[in-house]
This record gives sequence, C-alpha cells and structure tokens, in this order.
Amino acid sequence: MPTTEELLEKLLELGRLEFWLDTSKYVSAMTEIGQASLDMGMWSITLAAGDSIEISFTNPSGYVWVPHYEGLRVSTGNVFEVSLIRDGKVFLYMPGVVDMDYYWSLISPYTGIIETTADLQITNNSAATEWIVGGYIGRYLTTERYRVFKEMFREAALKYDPMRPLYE
Amino acid sequence: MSDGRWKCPTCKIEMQVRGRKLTIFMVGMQFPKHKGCELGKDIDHIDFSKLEKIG
Repeated sequence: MPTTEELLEKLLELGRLEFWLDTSKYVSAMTEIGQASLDMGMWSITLAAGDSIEISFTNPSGYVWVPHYEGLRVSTGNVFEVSLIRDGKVFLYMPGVVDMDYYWSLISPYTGIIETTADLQITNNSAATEWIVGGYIGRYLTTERYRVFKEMFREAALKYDPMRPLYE
Repeated sequence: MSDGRWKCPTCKIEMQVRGRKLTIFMVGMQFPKHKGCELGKDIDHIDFSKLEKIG
C-alpha cells in the first residue's frame, strides 16, 4: 500500500507532466524566463490566374517555431492548391483551400513545429486574380529547450503508455 | 525580362523570378514585412524599378 507521501509525489509528478505536455502552458512559461518569444502575425498573397508562388521561411538561428494557432482565409473557396512543407517533409497538402482554422495547441500539442525551415507553395487555379491570407500565433523556443522537451516527451510516452503492461 | 534574383531595399527580403513563378526567401513568418512592399504584389503589378537586382 503506498504511503500518503508517495501518493502526493505521484500527483505532483502527474501535475508536472500535464504542464510539460501542454504547449500553451510550457512554451508560454518559457517566454517569462527568456527561453521563448511570442511571434504572431500574418502573411498575404495575391496571385493572378494560374500563377504560383513559393515562400521559403527560415527560423532565426538557434530557435524552433512552435505553433499555437494557424488560420487561412481565401477570396474564393476551392481554387487555391497549397502545400505546407516543414523541415523537408510535406506537413499539409490542400488541393482546394477554403477558410480554415487550426488550433494546434488544443488539437495536438507540438504538432507542426518548424525545426529549421518551412516552404509554402501556393497555386491559384482560378480563372481570375485571387487572394489568400494566413494568420498565426506561435512562439520561437530555443533549440536547447526544444531538445530537452523532445527527450522528456519520449520518456513520458513510454512511461505512461497505458498499454505498457501488455508488452512488458 | 524580370527573371533573376531581386531584393527589396526596405525589408531586404529576396525573391527569385523564373517566368511567372516567384520564390520568396524569408527569415521569420510575417509576409510582406511592410506596407506597400513590391514583393507582396502579384507579378503583373510588381514595379521592378523599386527593387534591387542582385542576380
């Protein structure tokens, strides 16, 4: 039978884990100690009929980008073909974009992180000039903290996997 | 033609033009970086005389 102290320690451990695994809490807290900085803004593109554009984003040296929210708005639905490539892998391909919102912090914490580079490829398949805009809220987290986080995330996945008793 | 590599003198962001295909090279996510930036326009409305040709 565990003692009260052991149970309290366990509760503390779980509390700390919940804090770590929640992007909005952990990365926001890192901002307070200078290990992260808020980055919010938008991008806006106008494309003539049939044209395409590629925007290649690079993080400031020593930082990864952690998204909290990303959203898209278009002048006409279903005419833009968009590929989001992050660190050389296709992260999201949308053959016909409509207005969309991605609350990454809520949907799946630590999804869509840009470790070094991102490419945004957009083609306007409309017969007219169209616009597409994106809004985002994210944070630049130091690469050092990100490495620590990734290791902890992996350890937690193994330690708290509810299926663990079945494969051990 | 306008093919080649261009740079906005204000925000220093670079752009590659190949035919009607544009590639923009950014540090950070915000685009365009300032109001009226030529790089934020579609190719038919970019005033290349306001950009620096760098390649």
